[in-house]
Amino acid sequence: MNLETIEILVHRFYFLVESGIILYVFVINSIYLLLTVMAFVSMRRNHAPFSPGEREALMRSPLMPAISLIVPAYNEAMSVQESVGCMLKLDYPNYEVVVVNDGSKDETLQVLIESFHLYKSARAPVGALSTKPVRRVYESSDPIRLVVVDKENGGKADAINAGINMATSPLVMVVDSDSIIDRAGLLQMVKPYLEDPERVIAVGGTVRAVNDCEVHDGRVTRIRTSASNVANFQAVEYLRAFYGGRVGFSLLNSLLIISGAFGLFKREAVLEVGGFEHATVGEDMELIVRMHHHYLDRKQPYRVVYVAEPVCWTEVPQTLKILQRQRKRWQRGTVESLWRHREMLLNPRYGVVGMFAFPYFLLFEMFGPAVELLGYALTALGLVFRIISPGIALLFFSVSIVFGILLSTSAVLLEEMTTLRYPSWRDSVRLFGTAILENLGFRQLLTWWRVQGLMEGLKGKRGGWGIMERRGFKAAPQQ
Amino acid sequence: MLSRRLGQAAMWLRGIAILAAFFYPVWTLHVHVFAQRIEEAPLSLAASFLTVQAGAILLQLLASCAFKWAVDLREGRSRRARPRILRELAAHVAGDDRRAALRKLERRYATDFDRSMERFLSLVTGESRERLTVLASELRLVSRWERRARYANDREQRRAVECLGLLAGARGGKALRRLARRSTPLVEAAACRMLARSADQRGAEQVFSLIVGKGYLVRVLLAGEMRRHALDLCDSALPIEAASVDTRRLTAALELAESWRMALRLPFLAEMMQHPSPEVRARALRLAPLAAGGQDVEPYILAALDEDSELVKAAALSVTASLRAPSLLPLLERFATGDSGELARLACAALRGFGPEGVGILRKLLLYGDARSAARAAEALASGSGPALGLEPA
Repeated sequence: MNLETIEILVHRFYFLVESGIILYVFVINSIYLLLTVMAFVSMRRNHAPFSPGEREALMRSPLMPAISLIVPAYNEAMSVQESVGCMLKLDYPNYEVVVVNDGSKDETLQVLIESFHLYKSARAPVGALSTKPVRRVYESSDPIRLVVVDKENGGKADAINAGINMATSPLVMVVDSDSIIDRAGLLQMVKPYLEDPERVIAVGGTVRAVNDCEVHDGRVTRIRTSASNVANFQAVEYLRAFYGGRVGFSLLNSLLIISGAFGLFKREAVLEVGGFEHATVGEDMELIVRMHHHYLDRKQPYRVVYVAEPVCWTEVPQTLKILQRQRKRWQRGTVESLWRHREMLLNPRYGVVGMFAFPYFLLFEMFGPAVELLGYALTALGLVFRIISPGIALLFFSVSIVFGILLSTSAVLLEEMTTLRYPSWRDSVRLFGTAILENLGFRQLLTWWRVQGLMEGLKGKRGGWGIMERRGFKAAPQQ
Repeated sequence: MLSRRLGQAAMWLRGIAILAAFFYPVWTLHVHVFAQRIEEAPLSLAASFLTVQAGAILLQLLASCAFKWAVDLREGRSRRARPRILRELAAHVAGDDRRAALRKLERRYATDFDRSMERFLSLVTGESRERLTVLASELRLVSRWERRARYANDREQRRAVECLGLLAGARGGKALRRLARRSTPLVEAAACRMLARSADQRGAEQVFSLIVGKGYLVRVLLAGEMRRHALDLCDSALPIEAASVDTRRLTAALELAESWRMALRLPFLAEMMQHPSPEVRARALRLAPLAAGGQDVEPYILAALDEDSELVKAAALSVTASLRAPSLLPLLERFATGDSGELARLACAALRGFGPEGVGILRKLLLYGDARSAARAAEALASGSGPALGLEPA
């Protein structure tokens, strides 16, 4: 074989791989675009928050199902008083807050005891999920429904399970301790369950970045973009992820993830599948996939629903170091969840979940970053070895980048035309600017971190609680 | 179910159509413009893609600006128009004839006029509401609301239903009855709520009969509204539902009765406690403490505690405390030490509600029972008493 033949073969192989990647990019972006369009159609049609009259009727209704808010906390002494205080002020007629202190090394428990006047309670667990030993249970002597479970450290999933064991309500909602829920968030969140109580087993809401928004008396009083570009990039990314993907998957009843920061579950269903899994960092996704697996195996009717309106505000990382850790952890979680339930992949027995959602997550969410990175590397190599001209490389690169921008701007537009949470012109301009800029460097950085997470996941690296540097909520100026 | 599936299919079709509308210009540009200038087909396709993408982004930016501008404009108009409309409406209600001015305002600010009328209607009653109803009719607002209630999106439909429900003399009754029968759950609930609000006994019976056949959301939204008619419904509608063979309707009716949490005349209760369906038996048992007229339910409770169904047992345990029949104590003690956590918890709570005899058994369990029973007994003894019971402060 002479040198010329080898060169031809290399060229052919190169173009084959490059064409494959272009096709892959086209398919993934078309699916994203379809899902975004679906979200647009669905939200314009179904975006129907309760009217004031309906809210009043619900608040007075004795038939409203009770909810236990499970709040796992680990080293949250800085923010736990404020966030639990916010959670005790929600508009819902019948709920309790169960904070689980997962063996914090800081003053989390002491802060809770002093702030909410806790006393040692004899409350015994109802559920039988296995967890690390519970040291003490506390209740508040104030007229509030607050239970604090102090247990040995066992990770987030273990803490949530301990909370579920202690919960007595038919519905449990898992909320991160650094989050703020919209005042009427519980009412909106419970709506799918009220519409179909027999089949709805899990409901997910929208999570948004609270950085630099003003918070007063447990509610976000002024919504605005952050001064930090990293936070704004994530704000747009969250819009794209929640509005773009989840509405469409929810319509197909094949939603594979409900955010661990904000999810409502039927307690009985969580107990039936064995609770949250300790041995994974993506316990939120793993639980949902396991629920699909369990119910489809038994051919029991069920629904996992996403609702766009109730919003949970959470502080997103403002430093690249913390963000990198978070994204690697999320990617590892995706790998672990999909690997554990690989039996569902392309298995017609699991319907749309097995034939569409699972392959989609495997191809585009799990391996997507690796393919994207390979595409960049091949283009660079092609340029170096003069296999492709700079013009062609630039054109294809531009198509890929501009498609990303189109998806981001679509999500921002969707937000503006449905919920309009950012009312000022300044914020709109900033969001659109961010939607363009995040595709020019930030997305590629995330891709690189996700590839690292993928490698760690494939190697089987374990992890515990994610570490987040808290800045605290920004207080509204005094009137 | 079928309508939900059809709705979803329509949504997917619309989504695919929009996507096709995006790809069509890509192909057209590729074939008619770029292919003639660029030799390589993939490059021509990429160039047309890029052009359409850039155009779509530009369109989105323009749409966003237009939308925001429209919102600002609308808000500005509302700020100016609403006080004027409310002033004129107030004068009209007070007896002045302001129809001419109001007609002009309605033509100019239709949406704001609707909102102001809705607000005013909800604030006034009697003659004033009658006067506003006549005005709404003359300005053709009623027909507009009826149209909107039928065709608009879910949010507008509910709004129109609330307006129709506020009209005096049941003017919107026909439209409301139609919507209460067949629509989305929230629109049905809104229509039922407005009908129930102005209903006499016969009307309340009709609404009750409608809502027991609807989903849980409708019942949750209507439970409070129907409480006003509870006593009448116990004499009329509830016995009819009790004779029904439809278990779902029957369960829903008993669930609503239980939600009213007031003493009720329930002569059919004994029969319900022997119903073949465990759901109905459980619901009937939960109603027992509310039954007025001193019915002897103890034998039914005893029978229920002996059943296989956990649902029925739990219902029976939850009402035993209110009966305080000493014959139940040994049974409660047995449940309190049983394997089922949920039933044991209920039994302990019932023992605590029994008074000194029950508390004595709980103390015995606390001292001599196994760890699980002792924990439950301690929990029951401490429940509702807080730190005052002698539990050490944290």
